[in-house]
Formats: sequence, C-alpha cells, structure tokens
Amino acid sequence: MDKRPFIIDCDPGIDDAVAIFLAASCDAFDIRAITSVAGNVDIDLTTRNALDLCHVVGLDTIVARGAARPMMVEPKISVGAHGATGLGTVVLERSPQAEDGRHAWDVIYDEAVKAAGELEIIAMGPLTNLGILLTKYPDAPRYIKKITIMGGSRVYGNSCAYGEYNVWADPLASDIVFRSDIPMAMVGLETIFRAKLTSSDWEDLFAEKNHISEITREILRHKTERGEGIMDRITARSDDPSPLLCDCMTVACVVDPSIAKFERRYVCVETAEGPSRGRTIIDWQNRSGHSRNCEVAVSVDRAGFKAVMQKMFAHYSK
Amino acid sequence: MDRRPLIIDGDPGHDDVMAIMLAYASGRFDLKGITCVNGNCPLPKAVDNILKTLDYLELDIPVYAGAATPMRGYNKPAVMCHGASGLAGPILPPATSKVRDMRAIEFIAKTLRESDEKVLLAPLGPLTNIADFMIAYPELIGKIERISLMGGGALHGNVTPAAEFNIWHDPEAARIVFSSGVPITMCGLDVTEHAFVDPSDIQRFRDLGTRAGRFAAELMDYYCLAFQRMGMMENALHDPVAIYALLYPEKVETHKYYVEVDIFGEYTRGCTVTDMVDSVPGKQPNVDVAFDLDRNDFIDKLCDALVKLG
Amino acid sequence: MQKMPIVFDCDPGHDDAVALFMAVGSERFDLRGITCVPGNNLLDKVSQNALKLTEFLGLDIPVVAGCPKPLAQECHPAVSVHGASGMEGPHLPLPKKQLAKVNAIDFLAQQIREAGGELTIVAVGPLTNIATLLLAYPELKGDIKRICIMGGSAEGGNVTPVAEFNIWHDPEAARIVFASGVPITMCGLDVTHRLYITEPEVEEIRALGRVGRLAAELFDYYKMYHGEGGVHNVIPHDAVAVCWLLDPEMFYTRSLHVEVDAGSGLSRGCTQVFAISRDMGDDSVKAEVVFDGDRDKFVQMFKHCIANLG
Repeated sequence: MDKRPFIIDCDPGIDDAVAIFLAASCDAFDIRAITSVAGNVDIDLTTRNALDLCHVVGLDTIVARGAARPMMVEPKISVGAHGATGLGTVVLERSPQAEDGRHAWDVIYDEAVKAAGELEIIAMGPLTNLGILLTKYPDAPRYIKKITIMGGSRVYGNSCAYGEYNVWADPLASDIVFRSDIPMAMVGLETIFRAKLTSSDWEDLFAEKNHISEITREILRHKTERGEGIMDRITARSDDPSPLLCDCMTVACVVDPSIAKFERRYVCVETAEGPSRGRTIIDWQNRSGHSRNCEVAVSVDRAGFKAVMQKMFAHYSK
Repeated sequence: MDRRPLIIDGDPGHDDVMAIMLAYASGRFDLKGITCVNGNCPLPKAVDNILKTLDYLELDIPVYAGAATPMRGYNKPAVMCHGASGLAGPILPPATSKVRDMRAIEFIAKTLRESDEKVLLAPLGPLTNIADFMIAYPELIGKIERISLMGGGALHGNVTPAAEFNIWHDPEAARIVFSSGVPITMCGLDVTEHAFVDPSDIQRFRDLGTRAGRFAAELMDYYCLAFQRMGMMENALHDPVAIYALLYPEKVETHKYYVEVDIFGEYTRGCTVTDMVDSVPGKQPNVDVAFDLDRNDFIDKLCDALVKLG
Repeated sequence: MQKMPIVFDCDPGHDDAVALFMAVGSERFDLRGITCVPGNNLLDKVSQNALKLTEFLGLDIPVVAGCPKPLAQECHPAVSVHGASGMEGPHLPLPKKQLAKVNAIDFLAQQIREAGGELTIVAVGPLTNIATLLLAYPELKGDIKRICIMGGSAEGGNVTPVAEFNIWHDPEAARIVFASGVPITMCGLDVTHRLYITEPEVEEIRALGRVGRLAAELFDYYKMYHGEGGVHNVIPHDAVAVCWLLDPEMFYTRSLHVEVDAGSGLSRGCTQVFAISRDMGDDSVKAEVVFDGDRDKFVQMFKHCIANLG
C-alpha cells in the first residue's frame, strides 16, 4: 500500500501532542515533517515540544521551526492554558535530534515538490506558516493535494464570540489559505465540541496501559482541571470536565473520514479588527456565488472517534 | 389590565402588517402611533402601505414618516420578499387618511415626554428612526420601558451568512440602539424561524370568515410564494414575534447575553455579535435574546386577533 | 569611495525607469540585482520592462520576478498612468536576456547575507516582495541596512483621497514592513510632488545623450498624467528615493511613527504619519519621513547621472 505523504503543522500544545501520537500510529501515513508555529505557547517551546514528542513516540522525521509571530497582527498567547511548557506538567525526555536548519515554509515547499502533488497537510495551529508558504511560493498550490485544518467554527468561538483561536490568531494567514484554491477541509470548534468524549470514555481508553497512554493521561490532567464550562452549557451537555481534544479529533477525521460528515461550502475569513475578527463565514445557503472551497465538518461520530483513539492506544502496546 | 403605551416602528412589509394587527387586536396596548422607516421598501411606499391597510381595516392609528435612508446613506429595498410596492398580494383601495405632519422622531419624543409611564417601542424594521431619536433626544432615552425588536440573529443571518436584513440595512443605527442601555428583547432569526406559517395556517386564517382573516391569508399567500420562488421553504412570520414577546414573555425562551452590532467587518457588517461563550471579560449582558417560542400558541393568538378585527 | 550595495525592487513604470538611470548613472551604487513586483502593471509586464531597461543600459545583473499579486487582494494595474505595457511611450527592443530562474525572496536573502549588513533595498513599487522577505527570513531583519521606499503620504493620497498608490496596492505588506523595525526611509508624495522637472528641463535632459533621449521620451508619455492647465511638469517619484540615498542632507526628513491602515474602510492604504507625536513614546517604531528637498539640486543631480550614462 502506498503511504500518504503528510506534513503536520502544529503548536504543541496539549491537544497537538495527542494528535501527533495519533498521526504517528497510523500505518497509512508517511509523515515527512512536523513544522512548528507559535500559538498555544511561544515558538521555542512549540519547537522543543515537537522534537520531544517525535522522540517519545519513535517518529523519525524532520522537525522544522516556523513563525514566531502572526503575519501582521500582534501575537496573543493564552497564558497558562497549556501549562508553562505547553505540555501541562509533563516533562518529556529530551530528543537527541536537532531542528532541521530550514524554515518550516521552505521544508513544506521542498517536500511538496518532492511528493509531486501528493502531499497533504494537517494544520492544527495558527496558519502563519502556510500563509508565508503561499506568499513566498506562488506555485505551491500546484503541489499540495489537500489541507485539513483544525480551525474555525460553525457558530461558537473561544477567542471571541464567533472566533476560534487558530483562525483568530492570524486572520491574514487564514484568509490567504482559504483563498488559495487548494482543496480544504475544516474541522471546527463547535463540531468538535459536540463529539467530545466523556470522562468515562477516557477511563475506558486509559485501561490500555502503555508508555503513551500514561503520558497522555498526565498531559490531559492539565486540560481537565480547567474544564470547558460554557461550551458544555451551550451544547446542552452536562458539565463534565473532560478534556476537549480538537487537534486529535481533526487528525482522527483524516485517519478515518467515515467518522465525520462533511458538507462542501464557500468559506471565507473575516480579517477586520472588530468583534467578528477571525470568524469563519460559512455560506450554508450557497447564495454568495463563489465556488465552494472547503469541506466543512458538520458532525463527528463520538463512538467512531473513540474507536480511532482505542486503536491508537492499542498500537502503542505492541 | 392597564393598556401599556406602545409605538410601533416599521417598514410595512407583510409581516409588519401582521404584527400591527396582533398588537392592536390584543387590547393590551395603548397604540400611540406607527412610525415608518425605509427598509423593506422605500419610505413613501411604506407610508402608503400602512395608510391603506389601516383604512381598509378601519383602524384609527396615526402614522408618522421617519427616515428615508439608513444613517450611512444608501437604500437596499427587499424587493424579493416584499415585491416592488412592499406589500404585494392583496389589492387595497387607495388610502384616504394622510400621514401626520410631525416627523417620526418628534412624535416619539412628544409621546415619551407627555407620558406618565414609560413607553414600549416595537421596531420591526431597520433601526434608523430609533437611533435618530436617541441622538436627538438623549434625555428621553430613560423613558423607554423596553425595546422589543425584530432583527439580528445570534446563530446566523439571512441577507448574508452573518447578518439579518434589518440590522444589515443600517448597522450604525443598530449599534447605537444596542449600546444605549435600554432593556432590549431581540427577536431575531433564532426565534422567528420557529414562527413559520404553513398552508394549513393560511387556510385557517381564511376560514376565520373575517375581512382581516381574508386579508391576512392573501398577504401570506404572496409572502410564502415569494420565498418559494427564492428557493427557500422558510416562510417565517418575523415581525409579529416582537409583539408576541411583549404580550406573552413567558412563552418565549430568552437568554441574556452581551450583544454588539458589528459595523467593521467586511463580511460581518450588520451582524449582531452575541457572546454566548463569555469570551469578552467584563462585558455585562445587555440584551434578552429570544431563541424559541410556542408556535402553535403564536398562530392561535394571531387567529384571535384576526377574529377580533372583524 | 565605497559603493553602496543595493537591490532595486520595482514595477517599471516610467519613474522606476528614470530612477534606475539615476542610480546607475550616479556610479555610487553596487547594484546587485533587480526584483520585480506587480503594481504599475502585472508582474509579467513589469518584469519584461525591467529586462528591457537592463539591456538598454548594458547591465549584466540578475532580474528576478517576485510575488505575482499582493498579500490579500488582487492586482490593480495603473494603466491610466503608465499605459498598457506599463511603460508606454518609447519603443524598446524585446530583451534577449531572460529572468533569473531563482525565487526572488531567496535572491534578496542571499544579497543581504553576502553584503554583511550593508545592503540597502530601494523599494519603489508596492511592498509585497519586501514584506514576504521579512516574513520568510525574520532572522535577517537585523542585517538589512535600510529600506528606502517610494510610497505613502503624510498629507493626502493620489489613488484615493488618503492613499498613495504603492501602499494602497498592498496595505498588508506595507503594514508589515513599517512595523518591522528595519530602518526605513519613506519618500512619499509630500516630497515627490515638490521635486518636479519642468518642460524646459526635460528638453535639456533629452540632449544629454542616448539615455537622456530615452528618459525624455518616457517623460513625454508620463507627463500627460501630471499636467494641469497647459503646464506639464513631470514628477519622477521613484527617482527621489534614489536621490535621498545619494544626498540625504539636501532633504528635510523627520523621524516619526508611521502606521499603515490595512483595514477595509475608506482609509485603507493610508500611511498615518504621527507628525504631532507628543504621545508616541520613544520606544515606538519610527521611520525617516521625507517632507521636502532642494528641487534645483535634485534636477541638477538627475541630469548629472543621466549625462554619465552617455
């Protein structure tokens, strides 16, 4: 079976960490590089974490440093959300591998050309690296098969009323990506939230005891303590402080697309400063006249996601 | 029960007319007057529509003309929904009564000044008149008991994916009204989409046997047809919800949120940004946002009104 | 005297052309290459014009095509000013040389590294390439000696009431460049409108030789845009940026905070120059904003450079 070439662009980050575990466990993926971006924490930490996460999961691939700040707006890091290091209280063994000396966007371009049009990208942080890639390399769209983002939302945001963090943090880069003509898929905040695993789901998953499940359990403790309060109330879920793993669910939708329902729509990004900055405007009624540039995940099957996670933990027991 | 003083501001408009009938027939309001604004159709047509309708139904309510354009100047009449006249469908004899000389905002000011108690406002169209009033008479803002408006949408829009028509038509006016501190009930698309009429409802209006019932049926026939032509099955009866929410607040599900009208966005201009996730620290919830209502009761109450009007 | 290493980023363009003549003719610059950006016309046209100019001047330097469009919007070629080819007027033969097959951003980075901190970028078109350079090579910011820009305006624009064309064509890029902290000289309309060349002076230039004739022919076409009431002075905006590098002392320059409006409102593309900057702390990023210069000296220097080229 031909493996699918992937690059994972991320800002580890607690949920990026578990998402990397998931991606690395998938036999069908040939992960050509992990590229880091500032977002959940600063670029030094996200890059360090990316290296160490690859090491702990035995993923032998390029790790390349990306953008330290958004393309145009001031950076906004949510202090404390991911702990001081970005991985909660967990301290990983330091990877002996060094960063690739090239910038993230140069690595993405080089790999895209090498893969002759088959390269897919999963982007789980602010889209700055992709924005710079597309600006520096106007022919990049020719070589990229698909970009799947964890980002945006149907309605409810987290950074502002309707703005989800990854898109909100770098609206210009997000706008560039959505207008790039590269086939896109978007797994948004609200959709992810509605398929959130419960605390007892996680207990079931952690029954599979191995190095990775133990690390995951430790990392997620930081998220659990904070809870997701308001989202629970809005989506009429009981206030169950289980962790919300956006990036992980996004990767799961790529690993097993059957767990999600997608609808193709025209999506654009509101970049103006104001209360709607970072909102993903989804033309559900198809009235804009624009071509439909994005597969929007409208629902994810919780049981299906759980099964994907179960398979992942089982993989690491071998 | 005492009748509460009420001014309705609208851009008739099929559903505006239904709302006026509901308000008048309930007997629970002292309907001081109707102010007209540009929106569904140009202002002269709005005025003419309401005069014709009131004459036809033999209702004695004074009518005042307000703003002919939104605050920033240009008009976008909703011809697709309401036809070129703004009230396409029933054929009415020409109006005999006339619009009053006083301007809309002066009428609102006079009413508030002279009233012993606070006054309710029910804006059913773009908020241009209300905002103009607030700017011209800031000392009277405190005499507004509540604004129950049809407009906005916390979850999505109609004319654009984010914005609902009334707010979109005059975002600056809406921003002024929403940040005024007056208690506001926002009956936006979130609730009005639950207040739809279907063919059996229209038949029921007709079967009431009254002139008002037949009139309503003819209005709704055109209104529903217009939406079908646009490929939408939606035939929500938006404006009467704002009146219904004043009459039966216990039958409307609301949540209090901080709402800000976006005047800045390229795609989101004119949307009511409703912070349902408490993302803006320190902002006090300022609007009761309506999300659902008892549709069957809503239709029942409309039928009651159409019977009472005869 | 040591020659100043520069790269010329441009969108030829009549005034880009004569600016290039001035730079080469001054014999004070080590011109490492030309990078092209769309603005006056689309990328392919301006790139061809750049090739034609280098061949005419007998320059053996790389000409590299840069970004094909602005960061966040489409191109808006200034055909009414520069004509269909971007450099309408004189006929230049098709170039034999080709564009260098290298990524323009990589090329700029390489020049910065090789110049060991001494490279000045002369940017006389929209700032798309420069912003992309700063984004793609953030670690080289400290190694750029200066970016000398033709663009912006403290008092009034040309393409809109407040925006000058280069900034307006890519406001996001301009905002990124002005906020970057790299030393910037802004030669905007404030100074360029004062450094005009009169019709008799154009005739003097025409008589200076082969390059003088070409410059005058370019002016013949270009002045049609600038003339008013029968007086046809010509304004070679881009040449002012070159002149500032040759003799900053003949200019009136102030160190001020400049903020570029990259929003979607009426002042998009405006360079807000904080001229009365009592409130801007000393730690705010500042640019050298050029307001005025010695016109006679400018023309004299221009003629001198043209004459040197024969």
